[in-house]
Amino acid sequence: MTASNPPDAATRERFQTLFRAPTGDDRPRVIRAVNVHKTYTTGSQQTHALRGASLEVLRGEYLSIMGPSGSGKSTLFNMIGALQKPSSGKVYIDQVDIAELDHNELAWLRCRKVGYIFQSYNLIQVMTCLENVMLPMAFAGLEPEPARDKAVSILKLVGLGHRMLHKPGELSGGQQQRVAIARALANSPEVVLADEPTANLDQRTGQEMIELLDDLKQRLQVTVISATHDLKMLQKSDRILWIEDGRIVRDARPSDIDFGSAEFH
Amino acid sequence: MLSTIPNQVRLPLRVAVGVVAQGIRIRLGRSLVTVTGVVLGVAFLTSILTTQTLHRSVNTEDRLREQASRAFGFLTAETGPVFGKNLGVVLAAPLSPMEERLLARLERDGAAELRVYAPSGALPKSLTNNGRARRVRSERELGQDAVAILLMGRGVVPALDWSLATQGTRQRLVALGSERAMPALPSQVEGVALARPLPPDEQRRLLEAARRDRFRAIWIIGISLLVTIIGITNSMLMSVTERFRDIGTMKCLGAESGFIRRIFLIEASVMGLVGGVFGVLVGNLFALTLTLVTYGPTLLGQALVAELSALGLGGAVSLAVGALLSVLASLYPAEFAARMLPAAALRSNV
Ligand SMILES: Nc1ncnc2c1ncn2[C@@H]1O[C@H](COP(=O)(O)OP(=O)(O)OP(=O)(O)O)[C@@H](O)[C@H]1O
Ligand SMILES: [Mg+2]
Repeated sequence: MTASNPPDAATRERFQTLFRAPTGDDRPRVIRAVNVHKTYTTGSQQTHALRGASLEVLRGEYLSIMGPSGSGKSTLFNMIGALQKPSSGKVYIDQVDIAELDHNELAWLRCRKVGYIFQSYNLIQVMTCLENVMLPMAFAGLEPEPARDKAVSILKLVGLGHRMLHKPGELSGGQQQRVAIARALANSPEVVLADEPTANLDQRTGQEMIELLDDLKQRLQVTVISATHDLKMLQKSDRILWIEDGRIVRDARPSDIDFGSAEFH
Repeated sequence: MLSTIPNQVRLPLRVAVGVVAQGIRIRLGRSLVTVTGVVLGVAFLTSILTTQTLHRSVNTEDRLREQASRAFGFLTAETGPVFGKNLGVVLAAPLSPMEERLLARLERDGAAELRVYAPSGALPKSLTNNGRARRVRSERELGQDAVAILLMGRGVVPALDWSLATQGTRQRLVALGSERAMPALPSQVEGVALARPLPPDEQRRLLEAARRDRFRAIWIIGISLLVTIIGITNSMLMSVTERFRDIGTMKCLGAESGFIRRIFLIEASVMGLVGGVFGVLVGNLFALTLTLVTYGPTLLGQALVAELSALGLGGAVSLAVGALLSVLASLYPAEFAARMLPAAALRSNV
C-alpha cells in the first residue's frame, strides 16, 4: 500500500477525539491507549516509534490495524500487549494501567489477559504441540491433568486434534499457526493480539487462518486485534485503524471503505 | 484494581525441569561442550587431590620407615649388632606408628627373640603372630641373655624394678622407643632415646618444602577452576543467546523472570553434577595411573587402603565443587536471560 501524506495538525487533533470507541456503545473497553509515545534510544540516536497514538477497543471487537512498514504497528502491539511500557501516555488493559505494574504483575497480565499470535509462530521447537499449548496454562498455575484436557480440546477446536504429539518442526506453516492460535487461547484471554498472522502463509492457508480466527471470535467472544495488510482480514473486521508515523490517522468500518481503491493494491 | 493482581503463581519445579530436560536433549552438542568444561575442571581438581593424598600416604610411610631405621641405627650404635641376639621389650601400649616399623625391622633383620613384658594388656598383633616374640612373666626373665631392654609404647610405663630387669642384660641399657620422658632409672642403668627429633634446619627445610607444594597446588587449582568457570559462563551465554526467541516467547506467555532464571540454574546444576561425576572418574583414573607408574602396585595398594576415606572425601568435594562451579558460572547468564525484555527477545532473529 502507499503511504499518504502525513496529516496536518488539525486533522490529527480531530482524530485524537474520533478514535474513541463509538459513543453509545457501553461494552467495556478492553484496551485503552491514551496519547502513547514510545521512543527508542540506540546509542545517540532516538527513534520515535509512536508519537501520541490513542485508541479504544471494545470487548468482542475484531479490530484491524493497517500501516506502512516502520509506522509503529509492532510497537503499538507491544504496548497494548504489556510487553513494553510506553515512554509517556497511558495504556490500560482491562482497566489496569500497565505503567504501575512490576515485572511479575506484568507477567500475570500477559499470562491471563493477552494471547499472542506472531508472524513467525514462535512455537517452542523442543516441545510437542500439546506441550506448547499447555505451557501458558502451566504459567497460570493449572495442574497438568486439567491443562492437558483443556489443551486437547482447544487443539481440536483449531482442527489439529490428530497432530497434537508432533513437534512444530514436523508441521506445515499453516498448522503451526493453528497451534499458535490454540496457544494464544489457552488461558481464555480478554484479547488476542495478532501481528501479521498471515504474512508467512500462502493465500489459501492465510484465508483458512482468517476464517478460523473469525469463527473462534464468534464462538468465544474474544477480542481480536491484528496488524495486517490482508484484504480478506480487513473485510472481516469490525473496525480498521490506520497508523502512520507513530500516530493513528484514520478509523473506519469495512462497510465504509472501497476495497477496490488503489490503496489496497 | 492493582490489588486484584496477585503474584504470578509459583511455577511447579516440574515444568522447569521438563523444559531443561528437553533443552539438554535437543541441544546435546552445546550441553556436551558445557559438560566437558566441568569434566575437565573437576578431573583436574580430583587428580591433584588424589595424587596428593596418595603421595602423602606413600611419603608418610617412607618417613616412618626412615625414622624407624634411624632408631634402629641408634640402638645398634649402643648395643652393637642385635642380629641373632635376644632383646627385652617392655610394652606400654599403644605403639606409635614408628615403633611398629621399628619392631618389624627388628624382627626382619634383627633379634633372635623378643622377650615381651606387657603387664597391662595383650600383645600387639604384630607381635602375636611372630614366632620370635615370647611373652615373659617376670621382670627378671625379661633381661635374661638380652642385649638391652627396649621401652616401647606411649601408655603408662609399667611399674617395674629397672635394676632387677637389667640384671641379666649384656649391657645395662634401657632404650626408649617413642618420644616421651625417660622413666626414672637407677644410676647404674643407662637410658638412651631412639626417637630423636630432626635437627631444626632439616625440620625447617621440610616445612618449607611442604608449604611450597601446598601453595603451588592451590595456585594451580585456583587457575584451573577459574578457566573452567569462564568456559562454562561462555557456553551458557551462548546457550542463552541461542534461546533468545524461546525466552521472549515464554515471557510473552506469562513466564516470570524467576522461571527463566531457574531454567538456566537447573540446567547448570544438572550439567555440573553429570560433569562432576565423570570428572571425578577421569581424574582418579589419571591420578591412579600416575601413582602406579611412579611407585608401583604395592605402595599404591597400601596407600589406597590407608587413604580410602580421604579419597572418598576428595571425590565428594570435587563433585560438589563441580556442581557449585557450574551454578556459579551460570549466575550471570541466567540473570542475563531473566532480565531480557520480552519484546527485545522477540525481535532477535537468532
Ligand atoms: N527495539 C528497537 N530499538 C530501536 N528502534 C526500534 C526498536 N523497535 C522498533 N524500532 C523502530 O521503531 C519504528 C517502528 O517499528 P515497528 O516495528 O513498530 O514498525 P512496524 O509498523 O511493525 O513495521 P513492519 O510493518 O515492518 O513490521 C521503526 O522505525 C523501527 O526501526
Ligand atoms: Mg512489525
